[in-house]
Amino acid sequence: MDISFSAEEQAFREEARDWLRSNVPMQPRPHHGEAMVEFDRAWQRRQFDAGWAGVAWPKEFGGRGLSLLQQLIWLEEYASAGAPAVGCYYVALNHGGPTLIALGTDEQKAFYLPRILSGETIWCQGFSEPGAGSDLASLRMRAEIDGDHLVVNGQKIWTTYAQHARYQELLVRTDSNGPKKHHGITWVICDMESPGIDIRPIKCMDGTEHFCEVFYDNVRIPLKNVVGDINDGWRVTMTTLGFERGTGLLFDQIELNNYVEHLLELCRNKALPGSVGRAIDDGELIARLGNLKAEVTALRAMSYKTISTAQRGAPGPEATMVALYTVETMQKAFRLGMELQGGDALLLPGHPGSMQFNYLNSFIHTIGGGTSEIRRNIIGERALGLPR
Amino acid sequence: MNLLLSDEQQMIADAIGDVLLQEYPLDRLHGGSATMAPNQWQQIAELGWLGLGLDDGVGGVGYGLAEEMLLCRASQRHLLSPSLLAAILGAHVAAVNAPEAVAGIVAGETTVALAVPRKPVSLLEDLLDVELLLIDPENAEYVLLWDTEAAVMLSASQLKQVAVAGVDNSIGLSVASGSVAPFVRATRGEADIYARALVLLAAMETGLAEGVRDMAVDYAKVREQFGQAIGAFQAIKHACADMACRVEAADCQLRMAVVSQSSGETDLLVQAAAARLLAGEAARENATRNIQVHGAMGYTAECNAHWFLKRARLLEQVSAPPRHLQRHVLGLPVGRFESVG
Ligand SMILES: Cc1cc2nc3c(=O)[nH]c(=O)nc-3n(C[C@H](O)[C@H](O)[C@H](O)COP(=O)(O)OP(=O)(O)OC[C@H]3O[C@@H](n4cnc5c(N)ncnc54)[C@H](O)[C@@H]3O)c2cc1C
Repeated sequence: MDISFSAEEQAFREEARDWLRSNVPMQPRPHHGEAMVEFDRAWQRRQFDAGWAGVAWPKEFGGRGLSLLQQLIWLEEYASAGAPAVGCYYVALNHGGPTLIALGTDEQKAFYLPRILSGETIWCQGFSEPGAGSDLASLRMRAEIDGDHLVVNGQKIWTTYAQHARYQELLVRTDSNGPKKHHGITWVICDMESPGIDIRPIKCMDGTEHFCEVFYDNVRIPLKNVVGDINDGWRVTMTTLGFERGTGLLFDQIELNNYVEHLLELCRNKALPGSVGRAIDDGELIARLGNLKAEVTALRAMSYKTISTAQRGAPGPEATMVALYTVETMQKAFRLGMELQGGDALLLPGHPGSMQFNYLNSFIHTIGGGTSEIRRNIIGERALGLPR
Repeated sequence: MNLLLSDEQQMIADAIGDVLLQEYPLDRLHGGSATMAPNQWQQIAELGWLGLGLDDGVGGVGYGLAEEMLLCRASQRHLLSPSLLAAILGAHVAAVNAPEAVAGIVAGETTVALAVPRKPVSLLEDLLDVELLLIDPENAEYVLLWDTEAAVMLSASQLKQVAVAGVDNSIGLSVASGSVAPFVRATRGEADIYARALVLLAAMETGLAEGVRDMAVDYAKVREQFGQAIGAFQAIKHACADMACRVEAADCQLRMAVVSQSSGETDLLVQAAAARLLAGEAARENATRNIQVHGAMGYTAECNAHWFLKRARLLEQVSAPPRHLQRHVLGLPVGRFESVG
């Protein structure tokens, strides 16, 4: 066990810090609409121009090809510098792109990957359907093969940023007669400008239109857009999910640590709701804040350990524990943030990143990307070997 | 950066685990006790366990806190006497200002007991007016206590002792009082016993939490109701998943605390206190849930579940209470007088 970084890694940290210090955008990230897209695009472009786009992608595909430890360092510096979240490019950079790198054809890689890195194209993820949420493999949206095209009819839902995306990683059912529901699914790249696509944004509890319903009416997708084989989409999906190497939560964890420090600052300066004394002199509050700080401190340790394991080979099911622990801790933190504000918690400031927005949006993490309940199932069954 | 055990550390952990499995099965507690006989002390002393992290120059084995952590973590899966911790820390205290006493402790010939103060005492005074609960005091020659400023060992024979019944009936308990000059004292500047103890107590609690997690999971796989293993019920499965998460968090933070000590990081106290907060919570909560998972069997004396709960409650009383740990992680001061024990 050892916490030190090599001289080379230290030098890399300096390099990353220097670049970030002079390039991170000063203004806060707008939280919706075209302004948000423009902001994210400009930031992605700036990273691309300086060679910092796709830090985890291999060099041969235009990425920076950082080692796992360099990625860790980059993300630590990135978050500490107050750089914005990956935003609209999340699916393209962390999901669609890596899937193509692993399983795409040369033609697919050559066309799509550079356009992702440069910020030209935003991707979205069309997995969930009204009838297929946690039970993703039960998805039913049909695609029929017609010549050299797939013809898609049906509906997807909860598609984040569908209204801004040019491409979509889309799961469709190409065979309903397979022995198991996991068979007969196909992973395909859908051009969101294709005729027959109807995108209807959904208003979320924070007032933004974070995700959409997407309807497909005889949408024709070239067969050459299929990644992997027809009916082999489940394996393709699992491959991508298996990329997690322990760095995925670092940004959120560091932001969360800053948030808890901010709460402590508030406690020093503010009276507790319903009291005249300073919040910091309240034993019960300090107890909660202290426990929270301990949990947030452990998040870093948990990611470090997952990364240590991943360096030896595939990370184990503990990655799911880290994810569950992170999102639950986040929710606790944001709840405490609301309580600390007393009556002011009623106000909804117009800017993103306020405690109120954080609180409302804490559900993104306990539901999207797998609910906490599903995560507990996975931990129970895969990490502990309990029966299904 | 690497938070995994080195090959050598893994070997040490495995070796410790093997001995404990053979020599200290939990069933020994039925009709017996966790108090160790003189020959048992000598056996673990011969394995080097009591001086693992002590410099070889002063009679130790020359490893560090990491190896002590591994030992302490494994020890509570088997509910070894907490006097193991007293011996490890006692040897560090003696090494500072009573080097002649180190050999006896490391050889397992002189045993040390942990103490929980029943009233505040400043450990920097010449004469200490103490009223203590001694944990597993049988045959103990010294009594160890510490606070943020100093650690002291008192001669047990100078204290008036009355044996009392304790909640953790795997070991003895006594009330001890007296006005005594310490046999040896190490101030914070001489040895950071306070932080070392936090890490090792966190290790013990993490090991305990791990042990009950495994016990609950094993039972959930074999006990059947409604025609299936109870582990298939989500109420049980999720309880086990939460146990696993608590252990994972405590274990990772424990490793972080150990490496921040060895690399001389300035935030050792924060890291160690965070580890102990999470480990203590994991131990208490997992031990509680484990009894529930076992149903009526969990409520019996015959089932080992209760020993873990009782030990978790006992460890909670040793050294800094959660109230202080919470202040440490936030970087807030703790009144010295408050922090005794
Ligand atoms: C902010 C946000 C963004 C999203 N973005 C996208 C996106 O871009 N693309 C996309 O495809 N999807 C997206 N999703 C959808 C997300 O993947 C699903 O919400 C998630 O998989 C859960 O499905 P569901 O909402 O249908 O809930 P359901 O599956 O209906 O679950 C409802 C409740 O039942 C529980 N439950 C269900 N099954 C079990 C079980 N087996 N055991 C125990 N409890 C169970 C759940 O935990 C939950 O509490 C997004 C969701 C959110 C919130």
